[in-house]
Amino acid sequence: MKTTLAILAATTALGAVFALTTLNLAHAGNRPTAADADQKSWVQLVSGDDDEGQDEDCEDEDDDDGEGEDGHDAACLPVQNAAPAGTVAPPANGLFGSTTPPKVQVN
Amino acid sequence: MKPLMAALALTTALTLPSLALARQVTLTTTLNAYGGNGAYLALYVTDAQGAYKGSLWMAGGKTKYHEHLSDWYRATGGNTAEINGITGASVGSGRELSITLDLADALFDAGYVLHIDAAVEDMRNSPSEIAVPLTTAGAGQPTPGRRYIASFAYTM
Repeated sequence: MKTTLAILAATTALGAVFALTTLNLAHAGNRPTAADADQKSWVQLVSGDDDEGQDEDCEDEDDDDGEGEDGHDAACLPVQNAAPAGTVAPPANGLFGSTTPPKVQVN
Repeated sequence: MKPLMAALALTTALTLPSLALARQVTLTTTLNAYGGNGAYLALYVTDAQGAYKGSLWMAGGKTKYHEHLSDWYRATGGNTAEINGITGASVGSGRELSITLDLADALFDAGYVLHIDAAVEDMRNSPSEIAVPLTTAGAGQPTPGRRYIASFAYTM
């Protein structure tokens, strides 16, 4: 009986050691290395190039053809675009006689 | 009855001067058929010394193109606060833009000059293509442009 228990304890211990070793190896495989870091930077550079490509798309996507619409592409607009007429009062620059928005017509 | 009449006289007296301080003006800009994309136009006023006083209208909402309206941009630094509430779409080749607004009476016959800068994508910039003195005598008189603008006139 004692022998059986000793063998069981030994196999359990060996199994545990084997399992822990395997787990450590698996984790070591996911750990970032210097080479990984280099690869990541490169990936980020590639990603940066992609972003530039998107900006170029924005530049190319110019639909200001004056047909009454002014294509607003939210992804490409600078944040400081002026408020369109009618949404706020004209600026208080002393030129306007009232705060009435200008009336505009394009023929 | 007397208090009512007094109140009426008072409100009339207070209202009339403000009406007299402004006049409704229509600015009409006709473009040539230059064949390009919509034109960006900046309409603004300088004083008798040539100093920028303020903007009246910006045709073309994309801020990134405003630097091509070079005289306006030099005077304002492209500050969008100058054109908040007075910005609309660019104007197509051969089209006519009419803007009706209340202008301060003091702008007329006092040396102020109305300028229009024009710019079209992939074409040459045209700063101060129109520069016309604001006078009561000049109302209704068409002024020819140099490049994109066929004519400009203001009526009162």
